[in-house]
Amino acid sequence: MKGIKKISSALLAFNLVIPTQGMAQAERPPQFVMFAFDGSYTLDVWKESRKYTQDKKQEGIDTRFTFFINPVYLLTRETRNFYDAPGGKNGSAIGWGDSVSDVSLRIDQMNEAFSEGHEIGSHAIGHWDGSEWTQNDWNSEFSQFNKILDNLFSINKIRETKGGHSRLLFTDSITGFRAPKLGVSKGLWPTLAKYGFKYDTSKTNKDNYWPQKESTGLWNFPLGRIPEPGGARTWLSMDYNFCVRDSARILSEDKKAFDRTNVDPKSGKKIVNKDKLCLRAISAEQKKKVKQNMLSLYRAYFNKNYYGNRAPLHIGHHFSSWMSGAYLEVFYEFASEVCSKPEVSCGVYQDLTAFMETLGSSQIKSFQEGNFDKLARPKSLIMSRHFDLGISTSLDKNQDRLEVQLIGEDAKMKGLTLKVSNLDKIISNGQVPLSEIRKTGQVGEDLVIRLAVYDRKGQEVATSSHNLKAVGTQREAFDSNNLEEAWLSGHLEGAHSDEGQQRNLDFSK
Amino acid sequence: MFFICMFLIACQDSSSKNHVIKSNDKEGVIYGSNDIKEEYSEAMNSLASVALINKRDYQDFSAGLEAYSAEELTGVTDFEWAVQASLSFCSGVLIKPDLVLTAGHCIENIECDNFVGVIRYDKEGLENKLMSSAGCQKIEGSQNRLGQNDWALIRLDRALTNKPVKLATQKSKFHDKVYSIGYPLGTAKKYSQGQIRFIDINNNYQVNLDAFVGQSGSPVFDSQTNELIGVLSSGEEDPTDHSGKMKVKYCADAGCKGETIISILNIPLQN
Repeated sequence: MKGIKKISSALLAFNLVIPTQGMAQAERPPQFVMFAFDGSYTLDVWKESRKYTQDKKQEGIDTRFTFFINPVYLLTRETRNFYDAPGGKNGSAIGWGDSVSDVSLRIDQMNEAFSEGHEIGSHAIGHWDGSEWTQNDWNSEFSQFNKILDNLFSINKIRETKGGHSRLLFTDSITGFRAPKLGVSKGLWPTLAKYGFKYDTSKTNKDNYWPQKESTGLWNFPLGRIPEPGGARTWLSMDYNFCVRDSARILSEDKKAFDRTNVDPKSGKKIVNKDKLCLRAISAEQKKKVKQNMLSLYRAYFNKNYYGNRAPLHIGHHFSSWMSGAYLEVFYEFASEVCSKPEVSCGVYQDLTAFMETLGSSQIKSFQEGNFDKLARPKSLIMSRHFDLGISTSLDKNQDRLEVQLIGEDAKMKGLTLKVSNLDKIISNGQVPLSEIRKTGQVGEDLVIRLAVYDRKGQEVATSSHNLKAVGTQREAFDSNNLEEAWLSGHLEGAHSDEGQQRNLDFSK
Repeated sequence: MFFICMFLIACQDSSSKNHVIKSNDKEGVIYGSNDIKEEYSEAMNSLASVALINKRDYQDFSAGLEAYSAEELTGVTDFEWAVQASLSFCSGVLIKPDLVLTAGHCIENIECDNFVGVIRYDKEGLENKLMSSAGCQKIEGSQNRLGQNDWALIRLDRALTNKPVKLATQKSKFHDKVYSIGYPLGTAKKYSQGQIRFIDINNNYQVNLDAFVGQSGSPVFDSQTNELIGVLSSGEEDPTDHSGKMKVKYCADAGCKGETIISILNIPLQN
């Protein structure tokens, strides 16, 4: 039985909300959701993304994107010598613009996007991994970045673009950076500060991290590490990192998945897989699964912060149509879901920077702790908790067997099964004979051993991937480190590899 | 405004239950004492309660596959009923033999084809295999403004024989006693009772019903008339610990946010 003392009916006539908590607390901050693209090649994606936001504007929903661009797409094979890659690199890691005409069209897209309120940021020039670069290397990269943009029209001998532009509109407005492959080194941040940047988005952090201003004066806007609800893994809020893990799963479930060819119904052109690390052509059934997984994780990221401490969300995607375009579709679908919600701001990073500049350090600390009156939470049961479950591996003393053990509080959960994906075989005694693994590859080849844990409903809830190098030779070596940890950072080859491919996307949702 | 609010707080009953907010060991949101009880079929309005369950989960469960318990799914360990299967993602109620009223946000991210409405998802129904389901034929209408206009009408693909509830036609009053029937943490049907704490600016009700996730869309009835006064939408957060396990929040009867009930009078029911 509940009891509340009656309050004067005269006072109740005001229909007052009784502030039982939070009267001395900070005002609830808006929920920033930052949608950004790395790269800038594919003209169709420029057009589609701009069209998407124009349509949303018509509906009264302000959705804008930040585009971190690579100026190699503003050079051509003929003008590529205007870029001298630092750090012992040569040329571009991701190609060049197709022609002067193609560059001209791209300039129009960038200028028009900027005019419409989108932000243009820097993704460096040649998409090289700068994790080994010195400060001088970074200095060279940014100096050339400015030089290329400042002299773009003369370099390409363009007087006026097809869209009527005779200069880049945004060169003085670039204040943000994301490192290619998230490859950073100590020399990066002082160099960014020197070149007038205000923020960096190259790091990763927990999903409910409130940005901090670092000693260089730059704001740290990191990608989010999202704990998987109903599973034990953590995912990074960037499409390419999803692609690497999703590809490993798909290839383990269907040995012929790599050989798949899809046909673009519009152009009739074939779409084939070129890299096992990140698939392009997948089945409709797998595409549905991939989309559902990413949407669930993004929703978990959003719900935790929207109803929690309101830390900004950082969604980092590419212009690529990996997984038959699944990730690009999720990008727009997720934006449609969240940007119309109350108290949500889907602006650009410069909006977030401006907001952060209004806050003192104690206020940021207060937000981090969620010390404000939080939004009432829906009472639907939409997701499970994150599991405490891991896979421990080691070789036996004779180096003949891989010994595998489930660890963590949830290792005791009923009905878990452990499988070696390479063998499609359940491990019942915690041991995997390496002789069987060796048969799946050629002598001397490097293999990846993928271990997967399934719950009693058949859902994959934990995975661990390990290198077995030089199979069957004297040099054979097993690495007990889980490769998947690297999928939470960067340094993954292949980002942007897919740009320019024919795509068949469904933006209807 | 600030001083009036201060006065309201000062007016609250200091003699009611111990209002010390404990911070240890429990999960969900409990106002005052724990009022959640197992619900059986003979209770008023119980048979009109509908659990919304993912179709695949319902099929698996019906085929004998062991579902996750609430304990496994959420980390809850403190309540006896937490060991029960957790199947339902939201609650609802029959307002016509083939029409279910629930909260709008319940169907925000799930398509009609992918869930079913289930009756007799209660302890007795589970023990005697009395559960039965009807598919979602169509969403007749919905709004998804949490805590304000948060409702959905689901047309079932068949009429159920259970008697629909009677809808209130008069606005409830501050301090009225109410009860709710729903599926806390997705477990079998439970009953909870409380009181209207105040009526908000949107003419929705703030109540002190003990509530957990899984109870969105739960019908709330006037204890005297047994008429449906609204459906549960949102409320105090279910806090989690560092590992993501849910923990209880103990609130005074008049403390915390309260739970928001969308008034039946705010829902256009022309169907």
